[in-house]
Order: sequence, then structure tokens, then C-alpha cells
Amino acid sequence: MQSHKQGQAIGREAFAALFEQYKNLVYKTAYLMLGDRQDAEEALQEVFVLVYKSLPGYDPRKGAFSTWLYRVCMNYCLNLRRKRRVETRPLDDAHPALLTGWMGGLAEMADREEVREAIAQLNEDQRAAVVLRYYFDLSYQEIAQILDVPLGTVKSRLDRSLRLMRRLLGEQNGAVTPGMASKEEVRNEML
Amino acid sequence: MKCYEVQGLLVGYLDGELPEAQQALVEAHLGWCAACQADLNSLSGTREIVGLALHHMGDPEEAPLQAWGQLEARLARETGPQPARRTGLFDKTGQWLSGGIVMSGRLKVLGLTVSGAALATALVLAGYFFFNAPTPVSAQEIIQRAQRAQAAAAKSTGIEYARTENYTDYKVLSSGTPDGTTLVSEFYENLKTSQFRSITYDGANGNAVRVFAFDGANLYSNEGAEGGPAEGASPLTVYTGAAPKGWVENYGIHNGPQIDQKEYFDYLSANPDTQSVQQEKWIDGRQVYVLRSSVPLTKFQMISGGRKTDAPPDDANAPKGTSSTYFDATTYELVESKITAQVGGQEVRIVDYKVLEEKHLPANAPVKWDLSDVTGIALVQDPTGEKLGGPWIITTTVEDLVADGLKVYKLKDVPAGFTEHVAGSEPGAQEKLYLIEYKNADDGFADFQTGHSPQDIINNPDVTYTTTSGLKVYLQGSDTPEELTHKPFWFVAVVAPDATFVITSNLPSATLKTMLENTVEMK
Repeated sequence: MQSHKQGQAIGREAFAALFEQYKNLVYKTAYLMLGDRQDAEEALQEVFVLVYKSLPGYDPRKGAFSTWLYRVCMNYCLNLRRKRRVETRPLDDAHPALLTGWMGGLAEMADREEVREAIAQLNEDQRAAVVLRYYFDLSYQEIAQILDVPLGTVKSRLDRSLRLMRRLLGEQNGAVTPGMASKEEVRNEML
Repeated sequence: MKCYEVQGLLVGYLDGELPEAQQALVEAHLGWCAACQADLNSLSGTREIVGLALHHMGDPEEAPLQAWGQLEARLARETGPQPARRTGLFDKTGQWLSGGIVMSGRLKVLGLTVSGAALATALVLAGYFFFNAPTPVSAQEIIQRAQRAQAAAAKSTGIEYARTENYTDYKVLSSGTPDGTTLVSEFYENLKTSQFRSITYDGANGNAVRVFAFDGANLYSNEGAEGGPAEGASPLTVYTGAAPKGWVENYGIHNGPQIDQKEYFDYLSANPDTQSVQQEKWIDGRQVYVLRSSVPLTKFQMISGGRKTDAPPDDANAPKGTSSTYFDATTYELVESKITAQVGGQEVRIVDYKVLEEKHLPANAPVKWDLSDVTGIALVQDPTGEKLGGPWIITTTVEDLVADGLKVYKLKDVPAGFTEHVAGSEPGAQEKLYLIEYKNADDGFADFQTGHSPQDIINNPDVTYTTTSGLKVYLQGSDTPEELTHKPFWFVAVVAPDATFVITSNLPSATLKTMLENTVEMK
């Protein structure tokens, strides 16, 4: 007996309600991925047209609707970025460790343009993982489902992303690169 | 654990995503390794900065206010204009209304003739309904005429009248308080001339909210260009202008395969999802059969607002509602379809579609097709027709289509027993498409058309082959006759070197194969 769960159409009022509920999820994801309001507005339209047309293909047994929606949105943004071959500046040109010796709070640091530029240094896949985790607070499991990669890949992408960002933003608060002995360790050893 | 092993886990540790055993090992290591602890500290700072920066960037951003209007207009355009003169409402595998309906832009039910209402309400089964059902929202909507349900000779004269009520309440599932909207629609259609009028009223205040009509020469529609007046404005602005050439031919009523209401009732009763069939008294006192089944409320739950922290909705764990479908016990006409749920110990309605009245009027009944007796609307002339909708399908020639830049693939010779009808977008239209229909005397058809996404067919074919002329053919469907139409059904995608088109057909695949061998590009 053919499952009747797939192939469902949706009525106008229902779709309007769906749009109302999820429009900001899609818009913010697109904005954070594409960095431009106009692009994000266009993405919002394109994604929901896609959603509307492929809603019959959404199988609730495979996962949450929001997961599916994130995936449709991310695929759109990733494809767009790849098509445009967004140039990332080579690391050497990145701002030097501006934040060495930053005395202010983290919040003020986060507001600086340099941080945005550092985020822009991430490649699409890293950016996608970072946005899903550090903006939307999604679990690694969910991110893996959205991006259709293994859990280990999510972990390593986030690891690389944070380490790259740290490098771009410079050493802070006297942190040292692991593997090198800290001043304290050296002093302890000498005693 | 070695430092380099721990370092790879630190971000996962900060995110709280390590399995317990690993977390314990990392913590143990951090207890004595200052270098890794320092690594952790600085990563933690970076992590916090990234989060703050993203929130600083993303929090103020919101979807623009006009986004919905824009989207709606676009969807109306894209799922609009191909006329489907077929009564079949099939899902991807050709199953007739097994609760699943392909979201095909071609198939819409302007469903307020008797059987039209029945089919429209059948679609409401378990809450699945078209973008524009049960009355058209957009003037570009296809007018799908459902056929007479009686096995007896179809009525082809006279005027069909129906009045329906559609109640929807998506909020009750989350709020617990009923807060639905009621729309009442009145529909007239002259079965011979194709004149029709469909008016939907807000059940609360009686204001006309949707209008779509054809008086024999002019179209009337409240759908305007993008950014038109908001729905619910009173008086409702209704645009009017000349219908495009060939309107009746391409959008009007046509006789077609008869679907028997009783057969449909039997088919549904036999469906394993149907849990009970009972005889009851309906709201107007008549005897009805009620088919009930349990349905997951997944989609409605999604719509009524799940929070991100809720467990992901899935059918197995979603709350269940009841779908009830009511059929007249004598005629088997569908009179009501609803979905209800238990909320706070009460039974509440989520969707409730009722056919309040159906009549067959004589052909000379005084119906004002020009809407001159309708109050609460303001007619605005639209001489260019741009506000009425469109792009329209018009009857045209292959020469005109090719001249307009289309790549047209059709049969080189019309097979014996078939007629050919060529239709397509108006010359110069932005969205170019064509629809070439082949019909035989036995209600067999094959429609060659563009304007559809064939990708699903290409990705999931049941059969594929290449014709001698090099056309790559992908078919989805079956030669097994369907239960209600007693004919096969096929969706076909054809990939030619410079174009892709789709064929929908109820002909056997062997016939389609012969046709495809005879298919050429018109130049």
C-alpha cells in the first residue's frame, strides 16, 4: 500500500502560516551566509519557492521540518557562494593580530569589523557549520543532518574554524600555542 | 591522552558535544596540562567572540514586510497557467487520491460543481489541499472542471450552483483556544458556455474576499499585480477586462472521463487507513456515511508553532487527529470533510470543509455573470489585462511558438484516431511555454508541454530508454489501469539536446513509445 504521507500538497492559508513561522529562520541564515541584505531577500524568495514545490517530497519520518528547511536554505546559499566563487583574501593579507593586548571586553571586540572580516575568511563549509552552531545553537547531530556530512566532519570543521579565527584575531590574553611550554612550565622545571 | 588528541576535542568539549567517556578523559588531561588548558581558554574566548559577532550581525535582521506578498504572487504565477482539462488527480505513481496529491501546478480544482466539490473535498481529506482550493485565489489558476459523478449521461446543459464553507484553524493546536476563520463560497457555472462566477466571502463580516468570474467575454478577478490591495479590504477591488483569445477553449469546461462517486466511496472505504464507516445524520438531517481515519497532525503542529526546543515532529510521535469524510447515503456525493483533534479534553476542528448546498439550475436561470448584483466590490477596468492574471495560455500555432523562441517538440504526424490541439503562451510573454494535446475518442490523451520541472522524473524513473533519434526518455507511472479511471497513467520527461519537455498521458507505454519515435523538433 503506497504510503499516503508523501506527495501532499498544501493550501494557501497553511503555507502562509508556515512562511510566517519560518521566514526569519531562512532570512537570517541567508543573511549570515551571504552577507548582503538584497541577496538574503532573494534567497528568502527562492528558498520558499523551493520549499513550496518540494513540500510533497518532505518525509516527516526522516526528521524535523526545521532541519529540512535549514538544509534547503543552506544548499541554496552554498551553491550560490560556490557559483560566485567568493574570493577569500589570502591569509597573509588579513589584519595582523590586532587584538593582541585588547583590554576591553569580549563584547566590544566582537563588534569590531575585523571580526566580521575574520568570519569572512572561513570557507563556505566552515561558515555554514559556524553559523548553524554559534548563531542557531543547533546540535552537532542536527548540523550533520542539515549539511549531510558525518558527525566527525562537523566536529573538525568547527575545530578548524575556531582555530583559524583565533589565529586571525591574534593571540589574546597571553594564550600560548599548545605544544610549546608555557612560561610557568619552564619556570617550574627550572626550580 | 596525548596533547594532540585532546586538542582535537577541545571545541567539541566547549560545545558540550563530547560523549561522556571522552569528556571525562579530556577533563582529566586538562587537570594537569597547562598548555592544553591555555589552548582551551583561548579557544573559549574565540568561540564567545564568534557567537557574539554572529548575533550582532544576525539579530537585527528580519525578513522584509513585503516578502509574503512577493512570494504569493510568484507562486501564483509559477503554479498557474497550464490548463489541465483532465479530471484525473493523480500522485506521482498514478494512485488516485490515496491521500497524496502531487503538487502539480497544472491541477487545480475550481471545484464547486457537484462533482467538483466532491473532488475538492476529497483533496481536503486528511488536510491536503491545493494552494488555491477550494476557490481560486489567483486569476492565473487553472480551471479544472471535475466531471459529473453520475454514471448516467453527463449533464452538459444548465447551470451548476454550489455553496461551500471552509473553516480553518491552525492555532488551536498550540493555543488550545478555537480561533478559526470561516470562508463561504458561492459558485455558478454554465456547463455549455463556460460562463462562471466564484465569490468567496469572509464568514465573519460577509465581505467579499475573492472573486473570479467569466461572463462569456470578460474576466473578473480580485488578483492584481504585485503589491495589490490587501485581502480583506472593503470594498474589494475587482479588475475586469477582455479574456484572452481562446479562453473557453483552453480554460472552459470539457467533457472527460466520468468518475463515479459511489466507486470513489467504495475505494476509500476499502483503504486500510479507513478505520470506520458509519451511517449517521448530517447537519441538514439527511443520512450520510461517515468514513473516519486517524491522521497524524504533524503538518498542523508545524504550522501552529513548534518551538525549536520541542522534539522534532514526526508522524509516529505526532499527536493524532481524526479525519472524517461524509458522503450522502443516497447519491454518494461528498458533503463534508474535516480534521479534528482532542485539545484540552475537547474535540476541536482544524479544518472543516462543507458543501452547504448544491443545485442544478436551468440554462436560462437569471445569473448575473457580470457581477452586477454583487455588493462590496468595486470594478476597475483593466484594458491591458495585466491585472487580471496571466500569463495566459492561448490557442496558437506551432509557427507562432517557434517564432517566439520556443523549442517545440511534437508528433510529426497526428496518429489515426487522435486530434491535436496547440496552445501556449502569448507571443512575447516572459514565461514561454506550450501545451500540445493529443486526444482520442476513448478519452485517451497525451499532453506534450513545457513549463514543468522534470527533474523528479529524471531522478526517479520507472523506465528509461533512448529513441532512435536520440531523445532520452524517462517514465514514471504504470501500465496497470488505475482503480478509478481504469486507465494507466504516466509522467514522462524527455531530454532532447537543446530542450527538455514533459508528457502526461493515460495511454499505455507502448503507445507512448511509438509516439516518441515519431516526435520531432519543429523548426
